[in-house]
Amino acid sequence: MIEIFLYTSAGGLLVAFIVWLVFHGFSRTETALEPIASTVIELPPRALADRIFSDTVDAEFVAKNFPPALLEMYRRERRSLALAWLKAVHHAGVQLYRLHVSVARGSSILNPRVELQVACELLGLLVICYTLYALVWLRGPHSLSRLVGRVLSLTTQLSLYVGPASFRQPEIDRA
Amino acid sequence: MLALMLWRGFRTRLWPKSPVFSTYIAFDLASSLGGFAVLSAKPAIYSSYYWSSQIIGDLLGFGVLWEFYRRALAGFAGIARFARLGYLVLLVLNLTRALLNIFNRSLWNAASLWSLARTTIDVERNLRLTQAVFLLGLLLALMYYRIRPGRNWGGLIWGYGFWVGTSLITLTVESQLPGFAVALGYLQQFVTMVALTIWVVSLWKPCPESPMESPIENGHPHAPDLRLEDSLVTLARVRAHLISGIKPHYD
Repeated sequence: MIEIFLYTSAGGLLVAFIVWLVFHGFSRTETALEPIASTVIELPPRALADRIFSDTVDAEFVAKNFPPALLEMYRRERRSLALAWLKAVHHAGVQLYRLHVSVARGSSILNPRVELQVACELLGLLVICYTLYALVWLRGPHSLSRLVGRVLSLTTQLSLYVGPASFRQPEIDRA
Repeated sequence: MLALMLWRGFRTRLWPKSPVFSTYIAFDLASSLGGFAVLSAKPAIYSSYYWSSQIIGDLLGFGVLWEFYRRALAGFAGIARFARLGYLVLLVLNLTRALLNIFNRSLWNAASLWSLARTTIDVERNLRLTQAVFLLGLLLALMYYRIRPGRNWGGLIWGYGFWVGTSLITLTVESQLPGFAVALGYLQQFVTMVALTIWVVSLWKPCPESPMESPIENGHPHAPDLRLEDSLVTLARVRAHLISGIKPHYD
């Protein structure tokens, strides 16, 4: 029975993958080298992430001084901010990947090891991003600072593989 | 349909560029016609004739896959080399596994190949599984590097992948549930017709085979400073970075 499951799954996966590629996957492919708008990848400010994900002072202040309806509104706003911040990091990762692929497509020499490492880093980043999306959506943005640090670390590593693309993380002052 | 395909391939001048695939189609056509002759002359040997020709066709299929790897990525020299390396690694791993199986059975002769699986259906199914893995590898490379193969080659790959995937399912069910053999035979014929239709449609008009004709040696034209060689240098930095345990920093 396991044998049937394994073989039919492999066949089904191949057919599903082909159907998906033909109807959706190649909508984002390039027919020629696309212009690279910028080689600078910008990350959202880390200080903002600290404030969104681990700062409990604001939440305590709102909880003590305002009615529950306002606290609920504050939580919704924080969740939206957290999701927007995650989306920005996700976007930076995707930009890096596109930059890398743009260069790799035109290169006559590719190092399989580097390519596999870049692919693994990208996969790790995407998995963490989507996990964070789900966690923030379900449990709110607090107490996720360790995972956010990991997202930033992976994005940094991905940027290093790409090479000379500069990596900018603007800092903001805490209000 | 096979004859129509051969004709369209000739008209689109695809066959000289794809000797293995054209041989595969010609073999399929010849074996089908031969099958009719055998069935009418000596029905008793039709079964062994059919399965033998199927196994030869599957072995030819590996050459077809090699051609897909070669042609779909023709305009991307680095990626094509990388993909072919992956193909060879997979092939060596599969051959090694097959040889180890034979060795473990202590039957070092041609007949032992046959005894690897319970029936010829199992042998064919195992070959299709290997082909499915190879095709998945190619499709992943196309997706990852955002490469859309030309209409002709794309159609051949989609059609072949569809056929391999569905026949893997039908062969598996047939080998486990022989009672459904007749119904699955009809289903397999239908799937083959769908794959042939995809091939004929994709071969109807000649199209450029890949979006980029020659590799770029001096970096991306829109960003000439970006080199993958730099990635190799920065990789060493990343390795050192990981070993020393320094936390990520930003420029």
